Amino acid sequence: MKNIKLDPIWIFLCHKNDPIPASERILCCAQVYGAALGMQLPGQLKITRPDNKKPYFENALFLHFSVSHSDGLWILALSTLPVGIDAQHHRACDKKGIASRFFHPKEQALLENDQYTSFFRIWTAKESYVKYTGAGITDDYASFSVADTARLSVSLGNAIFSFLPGGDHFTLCLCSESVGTIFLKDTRF
Amino acid sequence: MLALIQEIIYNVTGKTNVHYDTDFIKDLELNSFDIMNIICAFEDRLGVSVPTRDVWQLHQVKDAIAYMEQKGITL
Repeated sequence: MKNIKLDPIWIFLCHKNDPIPASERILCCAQVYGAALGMQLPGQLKITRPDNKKPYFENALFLHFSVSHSDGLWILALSTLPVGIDAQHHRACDKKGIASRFFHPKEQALLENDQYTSFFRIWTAKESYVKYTGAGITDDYASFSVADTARLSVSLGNAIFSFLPGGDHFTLCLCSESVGTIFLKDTRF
Repeated sequence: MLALIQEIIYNVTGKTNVHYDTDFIKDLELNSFDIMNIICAFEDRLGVSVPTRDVWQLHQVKDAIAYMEQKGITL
């Protein structure tokens, strides 16, 4: 029988203009997560940010995180496995132009079929995926698809997509290797 | 060229107060989606193509202007 590891993932949502700086927020949340899971974390976690690459905890490589922000919302995912998260406000934009430039033909076909209602789900799924892999948005962004012509995919390779509640104005997508418990902590209210 | 960049950023994001030394991420707090929107608008406006790999090297407005000059992109 395949041994499936169910990964506990914690999501923190804050106002982007929260008085605590974003880097401190990450460290605080990581300590809360580590304590809850009984991890032995260094007292002072160190974040390394390679140029245009995924940031990581230099002295806690077993702890993974991903950050996103959009129009006032800041969101952090913490996990024991690689993780990517993306949040996007539903702002007015040239959906067709963006899709033709950055989306795979299958994703474009789905959008034509559903009158672009899946646009932000496709964008956040793609961006959470490249955050999960660490590749970031590159010239290959249109070379992979998170959808077929009829619907969004629930996974891509080893990665699983989970859409989180974002209300009427945001789409939030989590990309991870496995999904056990997702704990969502919204500190905005 | 600065005026064009200011106009495109305003049209796409509503952000103003854009100058030569403005950093797209640190000062304007743009995310990837904003930046890709701006690139699309820029390409559409000038009829050029900007490789995505080049986009991430352009941190400030002056970097974008220098890039356009280097590539011979004119209004």
